[in-house]
Amino acid sequence: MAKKSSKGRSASGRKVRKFPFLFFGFFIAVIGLGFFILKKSFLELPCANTLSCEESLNFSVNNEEQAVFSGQTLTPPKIDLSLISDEPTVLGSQAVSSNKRIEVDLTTQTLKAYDGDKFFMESRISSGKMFPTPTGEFTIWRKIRATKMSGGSGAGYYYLPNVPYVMFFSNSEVAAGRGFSLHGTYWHNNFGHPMSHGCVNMKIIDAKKLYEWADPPTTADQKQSLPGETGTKIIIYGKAP
Amino acid sequence: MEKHRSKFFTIFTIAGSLLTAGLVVLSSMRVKNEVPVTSDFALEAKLKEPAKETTVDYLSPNGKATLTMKNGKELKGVITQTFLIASEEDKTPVEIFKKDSNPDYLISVPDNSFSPDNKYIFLKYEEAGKNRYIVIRTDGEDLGKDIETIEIESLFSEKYPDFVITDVTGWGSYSLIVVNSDTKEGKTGPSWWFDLSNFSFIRLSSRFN
Repeated sequence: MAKKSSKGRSASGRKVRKFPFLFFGFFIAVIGLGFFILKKSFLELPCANTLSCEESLNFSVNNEEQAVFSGQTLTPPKIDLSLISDEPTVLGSQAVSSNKRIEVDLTTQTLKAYDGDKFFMESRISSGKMFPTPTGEFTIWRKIRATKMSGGSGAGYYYLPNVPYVMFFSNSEVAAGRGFSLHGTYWHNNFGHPMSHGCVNMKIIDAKKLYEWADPPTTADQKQSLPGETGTKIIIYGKAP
Repeated sequence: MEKHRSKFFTIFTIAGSLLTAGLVVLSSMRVKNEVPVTSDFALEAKLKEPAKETTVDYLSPNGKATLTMKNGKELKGVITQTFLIASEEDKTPVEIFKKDSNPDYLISVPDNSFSPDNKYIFLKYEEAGKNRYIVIRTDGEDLGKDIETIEIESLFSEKYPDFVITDVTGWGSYSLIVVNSDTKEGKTGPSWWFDLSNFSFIRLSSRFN
């Protein structure tokens, strides 16, 4: 009997000693799972250009750099900074018009711009293929004459300096930092078909026309808009083919 | 009473005569305006005017080059099509391609014809019930290997007989042309890059719709 009782004590003692480890392990697992979910949901929000989003969404001109797209090395068009002037002329509207709007139809891969009821322009676009272009109502929060965009990996890696006429847009659900924009495109000419990483790709001539019309206004050098200015409304709808 | 009846009869007669005369004049004018029906073939040929000369300009996506397509007058069932390029720097159009085409199967300039760097264009035409796509350099030079132009469809069907090209939509990069295909059985097939650097087709994992 004494032996039995001694064995029982010993077993229950081991159980008591095991419990904190089990509890601790469970606790770590729950914390780990929570962190994983949090990271997936909030910290790793998909971005239009995974690398350049982390670097910056600022004005940049790199005329000496080569671009990489679809596994090809390309020479981007040079951006002539000598055109920059200090004149305080403003592109866009002097007084911001709330009637301007840009409509992007993902189904037909077309963009139309209006000032109130007045039609301004129409062009074919390329929306997101690798990552979908978000739908909804947005405003342009910043215009930049040129910037660098990069992202992807392996065969899908791309590095694109001198992306021209960039109009970043955002809303309460799609944060500005995610880097979605309308912009000119020099690396492909397949408009009318999804091609991008979430942005709205436009022909350079169309992007220039839209950039100079849309708000917020930019100074004569077209370098960028001033912070805090309200931009033109963008409505994106439909489903990309 | 008799007088009234006679007056009414006179007015009625005059009105009737005027109406009849009007109808006769109108119908004779209609006959004059109508093209006479004839079995004279020479006259038919005279009436069927040959297609007029047309000129259409196409601007490149960066706005720095213009492709002009000139279709000449139809002569003996042939229309001479001339393609010219003018650049932003040199505005004088330079001829890069010329072809005598069947008026029913003229060459057309499809959407996204220019390569992104304006170095090449592709054109579309129909032959033997198939859409053909021809690639040309815009500076008039060879594509390489002493080849002036290359036709994508015939090259593709020779290399990949199990697939048929459904469309050539544009350029995936400076020298990559986007080609969509279906299987011979009609099922949706893959997309391909046609790589101009070595005239090869690269099968893609996703389709460019």
